[in-house]
Amino acid sequence: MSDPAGRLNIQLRRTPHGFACDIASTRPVAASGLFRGRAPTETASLLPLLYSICAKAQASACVGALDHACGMDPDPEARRLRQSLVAAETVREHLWRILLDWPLLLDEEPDRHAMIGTQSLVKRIFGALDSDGVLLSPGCEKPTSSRSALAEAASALADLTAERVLGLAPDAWLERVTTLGAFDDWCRSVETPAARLLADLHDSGDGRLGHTEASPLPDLDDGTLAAELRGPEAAAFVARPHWRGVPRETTPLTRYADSALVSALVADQGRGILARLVAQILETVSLLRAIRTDELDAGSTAPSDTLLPAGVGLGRADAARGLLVHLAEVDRGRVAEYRILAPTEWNFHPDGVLSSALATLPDAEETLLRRRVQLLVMAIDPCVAFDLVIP
Amino acid sequence: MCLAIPAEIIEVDPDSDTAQVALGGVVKEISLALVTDVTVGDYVLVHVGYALNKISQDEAEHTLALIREIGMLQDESGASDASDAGAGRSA
Repeated sequence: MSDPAGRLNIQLRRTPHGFACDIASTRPVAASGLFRGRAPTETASLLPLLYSICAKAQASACVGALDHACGMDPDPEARRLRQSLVAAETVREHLWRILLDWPLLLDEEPDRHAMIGTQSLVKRIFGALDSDGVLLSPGCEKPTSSRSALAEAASALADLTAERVLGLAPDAWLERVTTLGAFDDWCRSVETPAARLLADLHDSGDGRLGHTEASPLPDLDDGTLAAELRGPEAAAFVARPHWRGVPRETTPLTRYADSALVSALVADQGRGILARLVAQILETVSLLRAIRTDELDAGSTAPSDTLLPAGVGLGRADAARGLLVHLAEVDRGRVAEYRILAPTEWNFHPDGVLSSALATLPDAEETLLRRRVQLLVMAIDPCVAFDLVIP
Repeated sequence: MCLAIPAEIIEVDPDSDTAQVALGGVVKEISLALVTDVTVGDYVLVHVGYALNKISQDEAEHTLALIREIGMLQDESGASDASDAGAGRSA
């Protein structure tokens, strides 16, 4: 059978002008049609069952869209706690890559033990943020959280990240590693696989590979997004989204492009593999601090002031791989339409950032070429398995 | 947008910390490195080769029914999504 979660098929071709790339996706982008005809509460309870990998980001965008469509204004505390849930999930997703996938690129064993610890601590953070399990239900008014349990679990996760990834406390890393020189010192003085991989990419020059011009997804308001997601071309838009004719990028690199470290790396190395992997580490460390200090920035998920038609709602979440958007239309207590616009459809668009990045790769023998392609795909980070076909 | 598919464990190999699972009509080998206390007959959520966590039979059946409803899960044996190319994970 085909994989029900969908896969990406990424095929590289040699042309007289270098490489060209074909990307085909079997991701089930129309699956959200399943919610048509269901009540909002049933939709909010079914959706995380189905989309259980980034369940918090999905459920948060879902409840945001349903609340909005039903004319409910969520409690600000509920909104803040939902954002923390999504942040903790993003930390877990990035740590999965860093602990399990990055060591493979050094021909080393994945750090499964640390990942088991990460999963358990993130689960404790979820429990502390949502003690009663009502936070992701439509109309949630009185969420309960435990600050002491949150502080304990988040601090343990920071310790784990210090030991297995950074070699120093996350807060100290954030304060210290803000320049090229400090980054260089850090990745040469620390023995974790993450630091060694980044040093290796820097020294070999492979960190520069895959540079593309910036084409970030702009901060579109609710009305603009809703018009695309409700228009006659909505089904095609969620499968192959573009803005003003260009497939845009929404990744940790676009979210952290203005930070001192990432902008210095981009200026020195371009928007290649190294800048992308460092943006993932920087996001992990920044969110770990934000969860502990309660200083999450609403960023691109802040509700916009645009007035949508009655019964229409939009929800957003800064998911690990980029901006996730849900649109719900509710009519007489039933979902009439439901659309999900996921970051992988932007970033792995056939003419999107991965495709452009792969086209810049220099020709090389197959083993080296395959490693570089895998590095680039991992750095842009799809949310499904992928197959590579290398010429 | 990322689905994790419930799968029933049909055989466990404690030496390699792997299991054979039934996923739709197909038997696949997965890693049990990230879960503890799973035995034959349990349901786990599978994502790119790893069991993520154990779930109840009720939850598994409910989720599989949803997946069937959207026409994605084809209970037919013999076919496989095997590929010898590189595969990655994510969510």
